[in-house]
Amino acid sequence: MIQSEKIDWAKAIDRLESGGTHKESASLNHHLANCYSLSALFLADYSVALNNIKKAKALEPFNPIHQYRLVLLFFHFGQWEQGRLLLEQMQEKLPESVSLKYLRSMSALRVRGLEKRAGIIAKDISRQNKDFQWAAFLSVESAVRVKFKKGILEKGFRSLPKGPEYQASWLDLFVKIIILYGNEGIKFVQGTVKTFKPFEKEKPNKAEELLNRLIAWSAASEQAFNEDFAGIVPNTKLEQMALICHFNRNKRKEDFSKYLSQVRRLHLAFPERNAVKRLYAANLSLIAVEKASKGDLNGAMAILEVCQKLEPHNLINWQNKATIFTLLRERKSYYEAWETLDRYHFRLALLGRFNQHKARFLAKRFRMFAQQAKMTSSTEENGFQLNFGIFKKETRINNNVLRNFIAVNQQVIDNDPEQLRQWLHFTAVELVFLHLSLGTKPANYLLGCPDELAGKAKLDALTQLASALQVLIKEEGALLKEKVTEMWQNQWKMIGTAQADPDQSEAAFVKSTHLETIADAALLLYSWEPSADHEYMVNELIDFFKAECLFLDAKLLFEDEKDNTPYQVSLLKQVVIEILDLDKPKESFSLKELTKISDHLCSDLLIGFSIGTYEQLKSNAKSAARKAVQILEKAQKLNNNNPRIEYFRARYLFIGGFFEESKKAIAKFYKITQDDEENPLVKSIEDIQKALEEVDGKGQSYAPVQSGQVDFAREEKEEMVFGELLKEIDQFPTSTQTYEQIIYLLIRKGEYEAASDWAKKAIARCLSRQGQLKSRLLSMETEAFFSIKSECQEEINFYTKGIHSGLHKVLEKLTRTDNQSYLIEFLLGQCFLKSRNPRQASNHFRAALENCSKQLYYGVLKVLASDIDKVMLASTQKTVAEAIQAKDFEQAFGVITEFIAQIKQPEKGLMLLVDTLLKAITHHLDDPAKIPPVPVRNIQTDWNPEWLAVLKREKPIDAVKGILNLSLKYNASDEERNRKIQSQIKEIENQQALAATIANISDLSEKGDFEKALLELDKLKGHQTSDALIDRQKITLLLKLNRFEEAESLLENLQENNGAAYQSFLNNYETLKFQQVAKYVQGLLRKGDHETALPLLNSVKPKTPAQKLDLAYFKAFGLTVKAYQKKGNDQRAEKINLLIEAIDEIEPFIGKAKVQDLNHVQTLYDKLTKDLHDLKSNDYGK
Amino acid sequence: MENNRPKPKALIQYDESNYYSFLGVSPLASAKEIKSIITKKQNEAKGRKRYQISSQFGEAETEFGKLQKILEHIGTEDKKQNYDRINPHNELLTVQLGENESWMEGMVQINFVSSLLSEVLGKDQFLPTPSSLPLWVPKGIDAELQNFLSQFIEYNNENTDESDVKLSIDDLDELAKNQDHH
Repeated sequence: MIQSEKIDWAKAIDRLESGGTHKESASLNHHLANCYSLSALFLADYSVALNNIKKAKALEPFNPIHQYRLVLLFFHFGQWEQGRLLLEQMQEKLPESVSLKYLRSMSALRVRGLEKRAGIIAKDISRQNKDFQWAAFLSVESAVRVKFKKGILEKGFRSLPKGPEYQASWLDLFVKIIILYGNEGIKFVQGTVKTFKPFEKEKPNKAEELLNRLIAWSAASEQAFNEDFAGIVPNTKLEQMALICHFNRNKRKEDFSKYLSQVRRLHLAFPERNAVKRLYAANLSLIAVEKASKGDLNGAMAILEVCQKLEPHNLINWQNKATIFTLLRERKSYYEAWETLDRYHFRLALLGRFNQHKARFLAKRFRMFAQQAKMTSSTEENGFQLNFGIFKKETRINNNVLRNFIAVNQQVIDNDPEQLRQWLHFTAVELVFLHLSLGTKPANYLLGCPDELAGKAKLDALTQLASALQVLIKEEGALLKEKVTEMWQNQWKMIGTAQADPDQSEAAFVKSTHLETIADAALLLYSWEPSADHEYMVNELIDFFKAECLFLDAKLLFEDEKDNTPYQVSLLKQVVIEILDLDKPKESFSLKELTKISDHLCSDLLIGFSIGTYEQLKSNAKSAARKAVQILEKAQKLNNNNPRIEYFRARYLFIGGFFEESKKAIAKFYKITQDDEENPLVKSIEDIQKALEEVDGKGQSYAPVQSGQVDFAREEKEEMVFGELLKEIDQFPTSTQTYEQIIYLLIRKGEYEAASDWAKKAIARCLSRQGQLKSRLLSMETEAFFSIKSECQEEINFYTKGIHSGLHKVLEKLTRTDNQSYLIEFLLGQCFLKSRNPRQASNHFRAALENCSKQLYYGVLKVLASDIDKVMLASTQKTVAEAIQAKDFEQAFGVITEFIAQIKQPEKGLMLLVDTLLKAITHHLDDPAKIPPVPVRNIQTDWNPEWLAVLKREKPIDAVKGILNLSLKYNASDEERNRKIQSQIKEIENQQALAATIANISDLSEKGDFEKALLELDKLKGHQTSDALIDRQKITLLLKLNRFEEAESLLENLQENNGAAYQSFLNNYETLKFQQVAKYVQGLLRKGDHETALPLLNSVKPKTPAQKLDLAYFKAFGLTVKAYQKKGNDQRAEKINLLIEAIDEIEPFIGKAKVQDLNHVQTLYDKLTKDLHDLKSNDYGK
Repeated sequence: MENNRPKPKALIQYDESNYYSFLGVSPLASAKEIKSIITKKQNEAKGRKRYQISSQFGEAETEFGKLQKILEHIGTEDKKQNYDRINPHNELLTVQLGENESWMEGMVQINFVSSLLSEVLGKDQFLPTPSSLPLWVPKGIDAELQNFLSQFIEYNNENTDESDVKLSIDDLDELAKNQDHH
């Protein structure tokens, strides 16, 4: 047969595509199609191979060979299941085809439990086609796989054909027997070879040699194995087979630890061989699995750590670690481990290492988390039922029958709200992966869609579910969401119109998962009572349900109930019947109906949420009612025809004092319930009506509050932490910040007396200068607020929350009395200070000081009036510190430069800018371009031009230097501080230079400019980088430059100065040197320069047998070159000696070269012996 | 808290009320192994039934029934896969070997033999592997095509060793020629 592996298929196809040499187009097409489908066997890229077969099928649609090759291609790339399906289809059309039957038998052999079936098919082929003898080998293989029965096997082997073409098939069976049955197998094989003599006598016989090698590996001593192993080319199947024999030989031994040490030594001897590393890691994993199964989790963890170091990219190590942390219940590590694992899986998916099988696998893990959050297992601990899930099992008596129910576990959601989020987001991600497991056909991944509109809605729903990916893993999740949704959208666009309902078992599982999830979520919507601070979870649940509900399958929902039908599903069925007012089950739901169901249930949740919010916040009834009404308005948007919504709106509007709106809600309630006189809420509505009649005309108008204007939930949450603040003040009785929080909180509640008491306490306790200033300030504020509370309590509340504009406006218009005049001036000063207007603030503080009637406040007002810059600096420092913490340097720079521009003495703010700039530079050391520019603002001083010039400097570090100089020049500065900053600048500059040099070196090395890289490396000396590291880099570069002597001397230097670094580098060095010398001498010898080449070859130390062989070859080559340069009779003897020397170098390796097909060695040897022979013959001739 | 990965106070816990724990077998065991364990336990239960005392009446039957139920759920690979899919924590919370380690099993190892031989002895050998060329051309490549393809065979100096030996006898001949010329 033609040497198919050496054919350049691309060129051949190219020639045929361009018309080739064939005149007849039919013949041309046939050859082209043949080349297309046949080339698939030799292509490493699956998609290209698949495409070629598709092209072949397009050219010859009726030629079954291409379809048959497609089956082989699937098998070739490990897609056995897909191949088998196609094979079945083909067999229906061509039931008598021997080739198809052979493939059926061959593929059945790979399925556990089908071995006998494979044997029957093979026998059937042999019976019907006596000429096709290959099937007999499959028949024997089936017996080999089932059980080792000597008699049966002997009988099988007796029936096998012999001859050169069958040698490989005999060998195939022999190797399989040795692998499966160890020593017993070896004995049997040796006996069979002796009896049947299946191998040809010609020498060397490759098949027989390979068999003997395998047998030798299965019995070799450690040393013998290692030596032979060294000669095997890495990353080949032969290497894998050697390691399999190594492993199989030892796995049956009792002393596994001895074997492990042996593998470890093998790994140390061949650290660069990935297959050995994998073998070592796999054996360690075996021990970890054993230890974990015996409960020694810590021991297993220690081993897994080693496995992870060996194979950091093997995700099973990460999964096992996560598992152990889970079992050990190490909370922090548990979260980290699972998150890391998810991140890696997401990254792999982003890199394209993803398929339907992987999607199913990943879905399982997210399901595990969702299940955990959903409901705790029935495990009982110390006699108590554990209920950590958001649902719990309950048993109730219903019609005298004890029934099991599932109820929402309100207590868990209240105490551990993250459980609900875990259920939501992990379920969403599980569903995303389940949909991905359905493939790329829209009809499949959308679980069918009756029309385009429904399909589009489902697509949007999937996009919504995919948002959970970024909740679990922020960056990678966001990217994955983008990729996945883009893929779904594109597929949808390509297909254009909706496809028929899919029919596959996988889809059935996804559908039932949706049904159960929708039923669970519906139960939550129906029964969960969220509190005010759970608003975000309410929104998340609503978004989730709206998307999820689009996958509600009517057929599945209305299926006859079975024993294992979950309670929630039965409940959902009833709810759906009620919402859609159905009198009989439906076959399918329209988009409108699905939206109606989801809107109805979501509005139910919002009603419950409004009640919970009001109840929780009702200590401030008015604002609580307002918040409840806001929520009900959202519910109303979803369901405009629900009397419950109108009832609660009427109620809360009434409580909030919005009587007119309350009346309107009542009118709407009656409109909705006009045909429902028995509505249970009628009585309650009548009560509200009566109350409204009593207060008629005294209400206020209701204007819906814009979202984001007031954060009610936060307001009330603060109230709840009052107790905690009291505890805090017990611990830190001089914390003015805590006093401020307590006092502001009491002011918001309208409890001024208590607020004033706390201010007095603060004055009595905080005795430092700053403490006194702050507490007196608080006392003055409390007094000022008390004096104006009747006019503007709401604005005061905002002020205490940091919003001062409202109060500012009121204060400007306020009529003052003499007594409170200074207080108003003080508050105005505060408002101007907060709006960063120091001039105006100062004026008002001065006015306050002039009118102040209380001795207690003189001191405070004096400070405020006299040194407003200092006050401003303190407040600026606070804002800047917050901005830096949030890494918002842009804001920090803005605040500082604004401050500098406003104050009388701008130099006072310079050091703050220097500090902040240094922090920004340190933070963005790896990417200085990310440092935001400092806004350029004019200042009212003589040195404004200098200031502006400094700000315009390109490099931030230069700007720092300039600002520091300005500070030294115009501000009385602290020398010690200056020195510290100077050294900080120096350190940053060093680090920047180091980063730039390292980047430059790697850039130069990549470009091959090793000379320059070497010069750059010298610049690193003296930086914090280890000198040993620099030396190692230099040695590598010197080798690349063929400056071997310099490399040697630097290596000696390394040995003297850093023995440890030398030892760890030595092995690498020898290999590197060998490779570089090998490359270099080949060039030299090609030019005939044996004088440089030979001494260099003598200086290298080969490590592996392959290197030894290469070295011998190069030396022999060099000696030959030298010999050829000897001319004339006077140099003949010398020439002969050199040729003999060359032969001596190469001769010991001839055997090995033959086995490994190293033709160049053999050719050189043959030439040398011939030349020597010729030379000698000439001598004799003469 | 919002938009971040949820981190509830309650951690995942291993639920021991699963079929594998009841049988005392690893969730990673094959359905075949599980089936044989169930059969053994059922036989034991049958044996106990014969000699039970009145206080134990019904225990063996209950156990037998439960084992039967387990067999129905995880007695075959398909059913087991389905059970594991619905209850993933049994499998996921077991320290296990990865896909990379599957080669340690003899049956996986022998699936790899034919492709090894095809690589070592050449694709032209007839072997029960999809990488064997004779399987791709059951009737052989027709003579005309063979003739055409023979133009595209690349006879490069292949070297299977790890080193990059480029020096060949041709270089030696070239050198000799140059020297003679000089």
